[in-house]
Amino acid sequence: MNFSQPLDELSLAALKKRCRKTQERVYLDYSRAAWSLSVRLSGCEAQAWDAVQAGFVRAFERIGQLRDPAAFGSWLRRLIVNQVMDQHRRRFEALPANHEADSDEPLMEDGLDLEQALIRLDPMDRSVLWLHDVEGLTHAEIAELAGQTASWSKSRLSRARARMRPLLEGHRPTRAKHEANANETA
Amino acid sequence: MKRPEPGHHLPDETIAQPIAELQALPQLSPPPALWSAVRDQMDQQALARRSRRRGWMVSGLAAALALSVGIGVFTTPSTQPPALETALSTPASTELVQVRQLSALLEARLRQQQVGAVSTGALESLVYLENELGWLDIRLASQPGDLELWQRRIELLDEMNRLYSRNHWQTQMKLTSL
Repeated sequence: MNFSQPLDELSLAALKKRCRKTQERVYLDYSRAAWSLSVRLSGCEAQAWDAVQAGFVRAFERIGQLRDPAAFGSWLRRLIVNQVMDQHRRRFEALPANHEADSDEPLMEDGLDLEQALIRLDPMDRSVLWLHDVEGLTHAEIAELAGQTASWSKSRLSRARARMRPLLEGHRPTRAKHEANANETA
Repeated sequence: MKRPEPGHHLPDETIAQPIAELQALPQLSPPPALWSAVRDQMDQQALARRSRRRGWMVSGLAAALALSVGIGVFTTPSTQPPALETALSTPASTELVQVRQLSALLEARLRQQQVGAVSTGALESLVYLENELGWLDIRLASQPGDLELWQRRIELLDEMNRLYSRNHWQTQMKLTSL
């Protein structure tokens, strides 16, 4: 199930009564989408764990604020993205003042697949690229989540694409690579 | 999945294909223990909420107790027997004074509640609690300075008060629904 799947009225009512079985079922329904998003935004399973855990706890605790069951998925996604963005912000604030920003140099390493290339990006660049190009969020939405402006989001996206371009141009899809390996083995 | 927007940065052709592949990446399975972590955190938060609420109740009762002690000091002459007065003058017995006052407060509240009918289920519990209270009072008569016995008395009185309150509320609900 992905975030666009709506929740039904009965499940929302049960969640509002803090029904543990419904919470578990809803968690199971959305956990794969939540985990995938979180891992790809944070690039680290430990951080993804924290973000997904905090996101679900917050969603179940604040479920009383939600009126439209159809909006549950996008609401949960927003809570999880917020958690990841908070992690990025905290990490950025913890850096020494003289820390140099990531260079704009394109990634030139050979043999990187798409996911590896994504992980090599600066966390904010990666998040903006994923939220914009994969999740389909607008720059205004990304800016709001990151506590920045829309132009900040646009420049982050350009930088992320510029860094990814050489890899992406020479990219050999992961799936095709696996198939090629399998054929060679056979 | 992707929505166009005004000023949307559309990917050029060189990057459009890889982006489509990024969109097609398979979903990942979360670690199996993640649900337990979510559930445990919710349990901990619920526990913290309950103890905060209990803290407020205790503060409220303490405030009521302080008020009643204050009123008692300013309005009534001391009628305590000399032996008890001596015992209560030590710092260790301050707590004993407080539990006795709280016990009196709860007892007064209970007297106000003991009007009207109670359900059979509640009656059974009340009879049991009253028996416990009677037995406790016999022990307190011989050990008036036992703090633990006084604390147990407060618990019993509190439980009885809650039973009466719940019973009154249920009766009101039934009457309203008629």
